[in-house]
Amino acid sequence: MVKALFFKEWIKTRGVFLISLIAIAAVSAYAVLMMSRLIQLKGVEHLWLIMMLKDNSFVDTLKYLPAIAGIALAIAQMAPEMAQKRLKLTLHLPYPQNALVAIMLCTGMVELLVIYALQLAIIGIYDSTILPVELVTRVLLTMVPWSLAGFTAYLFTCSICLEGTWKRRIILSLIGLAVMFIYYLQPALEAYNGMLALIIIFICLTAILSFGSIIRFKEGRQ
Amino acid sequence: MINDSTPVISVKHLTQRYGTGRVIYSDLNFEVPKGRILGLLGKNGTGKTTTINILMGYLRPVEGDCRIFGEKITEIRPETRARIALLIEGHVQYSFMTISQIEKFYSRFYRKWNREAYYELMKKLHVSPNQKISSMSCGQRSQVALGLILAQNADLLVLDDFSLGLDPGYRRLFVDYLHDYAKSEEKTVFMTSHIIQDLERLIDDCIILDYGKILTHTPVNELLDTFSKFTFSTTDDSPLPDDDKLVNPYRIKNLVEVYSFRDADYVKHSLEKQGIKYSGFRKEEMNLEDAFIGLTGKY
Amino acid sequence: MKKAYSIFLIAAGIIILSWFLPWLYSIIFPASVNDPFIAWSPVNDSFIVSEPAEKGGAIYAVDELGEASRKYSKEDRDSLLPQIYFNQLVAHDKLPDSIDGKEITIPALKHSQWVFSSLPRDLNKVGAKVYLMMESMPARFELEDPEVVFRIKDNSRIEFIDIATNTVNANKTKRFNEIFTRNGFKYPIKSASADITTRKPYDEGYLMADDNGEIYHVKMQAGRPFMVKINKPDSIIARHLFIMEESDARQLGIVSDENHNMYVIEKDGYKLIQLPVGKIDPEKSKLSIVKNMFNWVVKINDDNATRWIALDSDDYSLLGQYSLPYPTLAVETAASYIFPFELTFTSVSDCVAKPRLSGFSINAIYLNIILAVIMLLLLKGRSSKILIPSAAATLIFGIFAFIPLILTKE
Repeated sequence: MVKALFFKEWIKTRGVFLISLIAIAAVSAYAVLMMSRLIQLKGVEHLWLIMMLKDNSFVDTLKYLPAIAGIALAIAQMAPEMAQKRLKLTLHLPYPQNALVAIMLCTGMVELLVIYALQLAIIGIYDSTILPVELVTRVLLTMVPWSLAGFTAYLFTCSICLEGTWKRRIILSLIGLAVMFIYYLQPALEAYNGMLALIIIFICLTAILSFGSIIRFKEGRQ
Repeated sequence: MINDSTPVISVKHLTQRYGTGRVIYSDLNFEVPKGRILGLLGKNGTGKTTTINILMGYLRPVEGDCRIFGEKITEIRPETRARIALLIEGHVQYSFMTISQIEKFYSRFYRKWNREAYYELMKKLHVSPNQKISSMSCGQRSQVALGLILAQNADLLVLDDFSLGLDPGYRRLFVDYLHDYAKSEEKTVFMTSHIIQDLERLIDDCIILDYGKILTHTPVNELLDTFSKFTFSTTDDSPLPDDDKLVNPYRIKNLVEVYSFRDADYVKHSLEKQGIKYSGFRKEEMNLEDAFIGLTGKY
Repeated sequence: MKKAYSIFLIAAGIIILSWFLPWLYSIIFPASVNDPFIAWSPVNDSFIVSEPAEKGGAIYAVDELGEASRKYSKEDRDSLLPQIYFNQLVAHDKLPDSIDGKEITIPALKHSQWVFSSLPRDLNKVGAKVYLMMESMPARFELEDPEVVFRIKDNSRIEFIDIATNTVNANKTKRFNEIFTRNGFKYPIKSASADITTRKPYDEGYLMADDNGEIYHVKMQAGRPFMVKINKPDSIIARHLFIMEESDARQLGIVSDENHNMYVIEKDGYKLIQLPVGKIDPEKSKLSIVKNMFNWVVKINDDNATRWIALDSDDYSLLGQYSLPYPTLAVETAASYIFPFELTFTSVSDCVAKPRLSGFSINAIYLNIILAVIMLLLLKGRSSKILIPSAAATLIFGIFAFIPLILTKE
């Protein structure tokens, strides 16, 4: 049954998943290309200097992609459930309803994890060929909050899609938007290091919103 | 304890309103016994779909105790849900799946899954197993939804307005299939439809809802036997009969029609008592739709 | 789950609003104060204050009590501050030949000029764990971009990496380790200051403080290590170091110790001399030093006031002090009656994102009480399980809780 549920989520999301994967791989490859061009033109020393003195991570182009992927995936996954109240079918499946919602969210989170891991891997692997491990970690730690922003965007979008009333949808959107803003407040490298644990706890809690939207759906707030 | 005499659906003192506003109905009570096909009939806005939503747990009623297979609807176990097949208004299904994907998907959830029942129906549609449901016509989609319901081999079928958007051929196909299936397997069916013609061939019992209450809950045969339509001619200025046993009197020029659970003698007697002159008094043959209109009125 | 959902939604609303509302308020009612420009006049031995243009642009001297004593015109000011306005003076042929026995020439004035500033945000940021090292004695005399970086490996040794190959330079690693060990350097590095740029007159490498707060001067000369441990009393434990590579090459750098005292290191003999500037915590206060041939003006933006301290450039003795307390702005007072506190994620004092609560204001209790009463009225008839927490949250969090509670009321 779990497999079947994953299968259903996969059918809905595979298109957006693959597009996101390709887009993120392409933009990551572009970032890599830009770095290798700079190295060709000015030497690797120049890249190190800019990175250390100007706090440039050379991956700024990847900043918002994880969030966009998260939103797109959530829409691809949840919009078909809400169109024609298809969620009724899902909730009617002979499977514990909370577990069902958890599996839906899990599928999305795992797909995003794959996308983000690919992005981190492309940059991490390339960077480690030209940079010392300290700077590779620095770049990756700077990118991690962007991925976390992606998970947050995903969970908020899910709860917004699953919510049945416009008023609550707007409230959730405003909170989500403000939370997303926080991820991009401080552009300095590794600025969010001290907050990562807190962010991860917050993301776990954000999943509650989707369960709440489902509860409200079952109460008839549609 | 659940035994054979436990009603499949039991609704007690059900009250529901629109938000905090208008009461849709209050203190609704009915039961659906095992093996019966029950149609919930009513005009638009009398709360048919609302009732189905409440029964399926998609709406919390203001008050009332609703049970399916003896379980409170808010606490239905997944195993019990497996015994209930649900058709959502408009034959909504996972249209992002193909014919074969959706069969594979649902088969994992139902122990008594009957693959053949589904594919037998699909064969009639002349669609390829790889066709996406979203690319099918409304009629074809209804057959997919029906096929999935039949394959589930559920003990209770809940069908919300199955005829919506179907042309007569598909409607007929749906009804015939469902009837055969329900009767041969002794299934319980709870359904709504706004096309009452279709139901006559299908349902054993009907509940007719009016705004706020149940007008009647009776086997269809009994309704057609006891509820009658009478017509007579009268003078243009004659008043319409005023007797609460004669319902929904209606006049077109000098021809009056009136419905009643009483016999012709009672009606004649009542007319005479009120001094209404009549001629050409007739008891007319009625089908379910006529009876429905007789009970609920044309407006 | 339903309860958890409601609580989380309200809590998220409170968190977001306690950040967003004060921020929005500060955008609508900006509360910024521009400090006047203040310099020490070697001519009349007093601070010369030039108010910003939006405050009338008055120019005056302040006496020892900090009172404005005399107003000046711009031309007067040019003569009072020849170390700054020498171009204007030359144009009007008013540049004196000497002041206080010091001969004045434009090259000499320029040569002695040095401007330094330290922002808390530069100190309070997550730095890279590798450090660039320049060559202090380049073969062609002109400074070149660094070709090596070093890291502290396993908290026990220094390791050099060649940038070009991204591999360990065993030679340099060995040499530097020897000299670090010989000097008793205690890892990790507490503070390391270097100015990595080719646009400076010369390179002095790093001023470093080890874990014990000992101060070292470390540089690379012709690829070989140079290291000096600077003599100091044990009571001075260095916290932050700032290297100086100014033209007249008299000083090596500035030291701030754990007790927030400031020192200067003179290049000649690595002498450590305390500056009479009071307590300065560079992690919290913005610090700037403007040095010229007559004096240093140290400016510190503290919590409540801006302080200026003038020091004699020869012996660092105190010439004068002046401080301007920050004014209490009406918009800030008004805000204290609206917001019980403020949540921020960033700060002008660092480059780190983390939640921080500040601006706690007891004044907001009046509004909180009013809102809590309104909340009680709006929720009349609800169960006490909803009523009491809602009113309590409004009482504590004020407007931040009131808005989400009202919006999610059903």
